[in-house]
Amino acid sequence: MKMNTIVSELSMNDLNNKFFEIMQNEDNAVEAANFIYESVIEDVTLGFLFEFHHGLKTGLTDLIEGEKEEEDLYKIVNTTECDVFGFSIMKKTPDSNCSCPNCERPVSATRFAPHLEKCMGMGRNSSRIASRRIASNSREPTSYAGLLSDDEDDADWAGGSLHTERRKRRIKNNNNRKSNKLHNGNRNNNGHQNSDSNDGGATYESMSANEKKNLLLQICGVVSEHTKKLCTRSIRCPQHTEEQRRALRNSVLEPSTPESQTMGLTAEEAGSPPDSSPSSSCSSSSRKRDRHRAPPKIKNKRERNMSPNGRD
Amino acid sequence: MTVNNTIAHQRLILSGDRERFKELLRRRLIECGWRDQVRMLCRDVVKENESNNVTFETLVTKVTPKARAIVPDSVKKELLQKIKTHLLTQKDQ
Amino acid sequence: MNDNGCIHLNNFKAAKGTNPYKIVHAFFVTCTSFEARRYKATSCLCFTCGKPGPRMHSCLHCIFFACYDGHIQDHSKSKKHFLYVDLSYGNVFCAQCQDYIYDRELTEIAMSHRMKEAKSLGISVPFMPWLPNNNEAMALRRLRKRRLISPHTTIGLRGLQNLGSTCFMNCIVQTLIHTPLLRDYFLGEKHKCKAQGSGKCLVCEVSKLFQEFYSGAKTPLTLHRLLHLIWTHARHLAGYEQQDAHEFFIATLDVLHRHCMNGVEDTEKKENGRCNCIIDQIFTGGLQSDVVCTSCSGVSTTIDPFWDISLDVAGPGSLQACLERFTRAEHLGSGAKIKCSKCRAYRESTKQLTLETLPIVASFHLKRFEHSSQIDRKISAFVSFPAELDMTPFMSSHRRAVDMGAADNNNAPEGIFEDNRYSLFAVVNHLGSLDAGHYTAYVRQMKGSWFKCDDHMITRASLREVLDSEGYLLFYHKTVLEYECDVS
Repeated sequence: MKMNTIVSELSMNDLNNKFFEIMQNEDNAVEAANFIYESVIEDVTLGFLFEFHHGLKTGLTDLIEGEKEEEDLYKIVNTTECDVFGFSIMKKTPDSNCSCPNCERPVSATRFAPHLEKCMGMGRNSSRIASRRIASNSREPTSYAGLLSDDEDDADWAGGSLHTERRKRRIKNNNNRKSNKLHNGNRNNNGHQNSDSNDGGATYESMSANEKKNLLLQICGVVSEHTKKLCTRSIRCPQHTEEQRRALRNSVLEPSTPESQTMGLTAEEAGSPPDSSPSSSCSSSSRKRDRHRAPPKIKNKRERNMSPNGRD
Repeated sequence: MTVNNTIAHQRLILSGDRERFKELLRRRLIECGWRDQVRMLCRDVVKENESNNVTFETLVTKVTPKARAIVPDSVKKELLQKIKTHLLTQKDQ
Repeated sequence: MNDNGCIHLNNFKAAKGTNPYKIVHAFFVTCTSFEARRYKATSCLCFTCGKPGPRMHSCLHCIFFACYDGHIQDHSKSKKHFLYVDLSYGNVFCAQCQDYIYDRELTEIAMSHRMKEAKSLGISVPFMPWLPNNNEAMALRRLRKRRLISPHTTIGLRGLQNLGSTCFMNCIVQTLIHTPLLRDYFLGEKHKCKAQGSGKCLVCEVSKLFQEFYSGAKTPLTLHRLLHLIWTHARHLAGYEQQDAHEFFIATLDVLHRHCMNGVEDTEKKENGRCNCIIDQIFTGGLQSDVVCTSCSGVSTTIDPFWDISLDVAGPGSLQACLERFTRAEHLGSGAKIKCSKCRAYRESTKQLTLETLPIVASFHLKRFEHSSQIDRKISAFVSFPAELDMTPFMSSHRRAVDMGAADNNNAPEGIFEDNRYSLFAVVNHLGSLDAGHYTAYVRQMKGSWFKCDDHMITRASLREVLDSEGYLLFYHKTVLEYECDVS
């Protein structure tokens, strides 16, 4: 019987039935697998040959490959006393000048970062200068952004030390807070460190009760012991506790106003939505937005369920 | 070419799985550098031939035998294993 | 390019157009539907010998299928039908030229059919070589010199000057410059900016950096403009002092992602907070969180986007062990009840995180810095990490397969292709203690060619040295890339 007659006469059903029958026997499967493999490898080989032939005949290969540039100019230096460019590893990098993008003055490169910090108004001294400037400005009290600030500006920049108090706090805060900065879409209007504008506004003292109330809907507001200024982070700022925030609001606003009651409530108190894990310090309504990345494993949960060295 | 093999082959074409296995094999052969080796073999043929007008048939005759011989065993084994398992675990539709 | 076919094919096209080719190709070369496959499987047999091969061809002049064992050649000679199409790849053979010939118009038809076929089969589009248009071909002809990345040259390497404890920034920049897809994007000039030349776009600044790194120049670069841009757009980072490299990495991605919107290229916002900018395409993955109510077994699932995974370091161990802990099901105790919507009450639950979608670049952050009210410390325990990492055990799909009793996902139709292998390409290390430390980075130029980046000092490193380093930020790149087609 000719092959083609067998196969073309089979209907779809027949083909399927025959197939299952055949595959009851593992030997058949092995043999068929070999056959199919041979057919496929031949196909794939032809495919690669076609690619080569196409590149050759159309000139595409030659067009793309061109001529290799001489490498001698860029050869890596292979001695232990030098880096790959041939610069001695002993020598300190010669300093150079660069032009500050902010003030356009020439600045020595190795001291650029501390310069930029002051230049952009972020250093300790600069914040004092700025606050004096603001206090004497008396503008419309619409923006709180001029109110300083985060305790971050405290430590002296000259240290170059890696993990001082200020930075540690920032890291801790950012581990919880970072998320707010990222998936911008749904962020509510908390004390935006991302804001590119840094207008001055009137000082806190000069605000009316209403203005203070509005302000406290947006920022943490707890007065920093270091700077004696209001914390401008979000109302869920982890650096300060809910009690501190409530205490502040109670002293500022009338105790019985709804604002002082509901502000700064955490998930447990407000009742959490079904899929949140409540034991975090951030309120659950922000959970989804926060979770641009893996939520940090919560400390208290660990203590309860796990031994200090992990679950095993 | 037996009847059984033809039927298995046709069945895999129908389900689209032959194309999938082809793509898998292709990927493995690129990853292990086989494709680059075959390219080198092709270049050698072109060099030998001097004229740039190497026909496809020339490549097939001169390169295929060597190319088939240098397919890594691990790749072949993996494909055979996967095809076999696939054939045995097809469910009745 | 010489892809204008041959005179015989052109005569044929003049007389019959491209339809004969289109039809043969759509039915017998690629199969974009089950019907087409059925037809191919049952009818695509040699008219002369009845076999399905070897190397089936279809005559272009009439309906005749035959194999390459002489049968198509016989038909061609006897009928003087000189053009026939190979059914494996759609290439046209001209019997008068005695070779396969390539025609751009037909090639493009073939390519579009291939995309459709891949889509219908649910496999990623097979890689198709780039075909330059006329202008591009002219440019390539005129400029024949090619600069290559090689293990022997400094192309792609530059030192970065320390601007005053800015090693954290230098390490992240080295990492980004050595992220292959990002490099391809920028060197391919894919960012065309509305704000070009204003000096305000971070993406443009990074683009300039890529040019510098591949220029072959050897002097160290000064990233003063970059620093200024990032401090301007990520105020929370601002304020000099040595900062955390991880924090800087995330902030940089964020600013780049926002500034991608300046480009005139098509950046649209999708759901899940992802857009289709290059940053999201490369770095964004999806983290699945399943919370199971212990009373009713109801599952509540959410998927959130992520750019990196922060892992606790619990004593010496391995990256895989950290990931295993991360994706383990955890019982949330009685103090952490959640409100189950099915039970309508507060219940205990188990929560499990798995990776739903992996980004092309997977970034891992080992949480070595601990800050609490009692202690601030750095955990220097050695966590080993591999050069090649298979992420399969941590994937949601794997967990599903395991739940259903399968050992792995390998025999599901998608399973054949499920490839979750990743290759290490950059490591950022923090040396020293909490109070006084320094960041360095190892980056991979090509497979097997690693370099240590210590601010302006770039030296060769061995893979062993890289794998023995402490590891703070680990960057892995998907080993095999898959292409999706936007064919609607």
